[in-house]
Amino acid sequence: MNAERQFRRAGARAAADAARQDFLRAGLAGYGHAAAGARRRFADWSAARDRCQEVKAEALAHLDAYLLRFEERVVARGGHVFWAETAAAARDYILGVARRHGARRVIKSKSMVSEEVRLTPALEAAGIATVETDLGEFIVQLRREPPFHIVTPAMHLRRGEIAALFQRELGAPPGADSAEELAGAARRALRDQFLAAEMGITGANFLIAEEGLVAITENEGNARLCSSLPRVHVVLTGLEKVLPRLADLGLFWPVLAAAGTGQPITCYNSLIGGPRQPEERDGPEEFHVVLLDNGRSALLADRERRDTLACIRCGACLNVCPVFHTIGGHAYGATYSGPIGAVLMPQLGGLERFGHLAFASSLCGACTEACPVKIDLHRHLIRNRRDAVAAGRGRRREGWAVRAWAWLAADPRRYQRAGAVLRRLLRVRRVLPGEGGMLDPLRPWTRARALPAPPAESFREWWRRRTAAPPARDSHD
Amino acid sequence: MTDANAGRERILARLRAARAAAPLAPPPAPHAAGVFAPIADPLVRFQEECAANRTELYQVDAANAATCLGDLLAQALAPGDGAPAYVQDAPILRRLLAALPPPLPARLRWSSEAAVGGDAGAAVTLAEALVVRTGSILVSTACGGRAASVLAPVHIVYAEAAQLVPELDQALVAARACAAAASMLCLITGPSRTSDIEKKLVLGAHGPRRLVLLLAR
Repeated sequence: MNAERQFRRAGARAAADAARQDFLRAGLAGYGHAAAGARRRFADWSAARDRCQEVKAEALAHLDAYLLRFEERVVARGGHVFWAETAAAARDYILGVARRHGARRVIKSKSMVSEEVRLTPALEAAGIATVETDLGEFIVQLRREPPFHIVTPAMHLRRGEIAALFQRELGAPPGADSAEELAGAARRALRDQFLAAEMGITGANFLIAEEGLVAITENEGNARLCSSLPRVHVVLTGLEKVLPRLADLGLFWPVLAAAGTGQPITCYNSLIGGPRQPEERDGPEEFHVVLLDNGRSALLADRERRDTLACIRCGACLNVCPVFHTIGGHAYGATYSGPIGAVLMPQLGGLERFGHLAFASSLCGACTEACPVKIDLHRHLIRNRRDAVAAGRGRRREGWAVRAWAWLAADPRRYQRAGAVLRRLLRVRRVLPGEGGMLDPLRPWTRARALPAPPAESFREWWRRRTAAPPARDSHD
Repeated sequence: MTDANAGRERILARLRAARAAAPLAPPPAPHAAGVFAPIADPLVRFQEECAANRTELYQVDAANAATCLGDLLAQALAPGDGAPAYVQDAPILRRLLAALPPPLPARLRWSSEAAVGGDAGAAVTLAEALVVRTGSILVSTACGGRAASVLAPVHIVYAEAAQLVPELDQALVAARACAAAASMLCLITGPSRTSDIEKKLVLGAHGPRRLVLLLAR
């Protein structure tokens, strides 16, 4: 089955699961409340967004120079920097490091880039046990499913489902199903893994060019453990995550926290510059940074889309998106879901495979408004649609429908008459049996939804009636 | 020397081709200006932020700092399990812990002798700076090592009020100076936490359940 059909099917199934949607919406409403509070901590949130946009634009405008500077500083501290053109190159390099150190156990902290390059399956295939240590990632790994959301991977699961999973997979006692007990069970299960692993893999939130530092933001402390305890630490990151200077984090740390989780600042903001230094007593002996291109340099050259590389992966656009609220993260069938996924995936994974995602949007612009680095997300969705149609990926039925609508809308009389006919048809339809059944022509809509009652009059009629009472008539009528 | 790879040259060539003609931009103005409102009373604000992020803040003076630290350690190290406390080997901490009542002195491990281990019951460290705006504590590898401030279930920090800086901007200036020698720095804001299960806040996800700050005048 092709990716588009799969998306339609998974989306329709998720859209019909009202209970899961309510659960998801309640969680996202909590985020909305916290994020609004965190934004109020700024005297001028819109000025903060403007500055973030400017700093990112500067970083991207001179990406080569900043990356070289970053590399120079990391290498000076004894670290290694590898430039990976493709997902396969990144995987092979990391596998090579693991083999050289005879690593049998790898601990990982959250990294969407590692999902992008399918790192864990590659390590597992090479006989290297790879454990996700972020609580949400750990849960979805035990369920053998991908993250549901780029920041909160297990947000779709209820406590009871996680408790059952932990009983089955970790031998946790039944009845231990509070959030505290479940988090405690994961902490105990993972503590030994942290102490035993030979290699730790993390992502990066920012690469600081001037000082040559990798900045990692997290709440749990698992990324800190991954980068402190094992003999080898590998950072896998997209090469676009550069900020020119350390000073820029004075803005980006609170902005990322506000947009990502609604916190004033995230619990742990680590800066790592290399392996253990001679006078230091702990920390890894070897430090590698893998800079992944995988289509990013082509995006940089695309003037129209360059600003999509400014994304800091905060997840705000997912959290406010009515489509994400309805279908959730898994239905997208893509590493990055939500608006940013629909914008990026065709660039990273091909228009043929992901061109259809841009059509799953009401173009309401909530994503653009939420984006802390001011990526013009909904306009990028329109551009992706344009390109998909130009590449012959448009749907013929949709083309006919739009043309028919354009013809009707071109003439007010015609439009009025069509509306009247449609209202009458809908009224007739409602009294007939079999709504949502196999023979219902409106089945794509009605099989999971009730058809709303059609209004008795058109807007135009309603308006005329309302304005008829006062003597002064609207001359436009 | 970096790992030689042909991919590096090809990537760089593509990035160079896409590069803007304009020269590198000059450093921007400090970020706090205009984006954040000024802070009226730094100490009050710091207390409020600590309370909000669940840092346990004790204000001490020269007379009671040692007693307070001793009490906290006695509380953190349960008598039964024999778990040690890993302590940053710094003159001020040596002095504060000199008169610790037995059997606690036998359970101290100084950072000059051993790196923190999985058996840690507590860690005691200094800080590089404290941030008023967010109620945060900046540590580096100089503060007892990389893992000291994350592996133990209780992290106790001793710092002085003079280390308070109003904004992240100033803390990052301090961090820049530290980064010349330290391979890791961390800005810590409250104890470890997760909200991954039904968005409910749980403290002590993988790092410390308790973060205690002794702030000396």
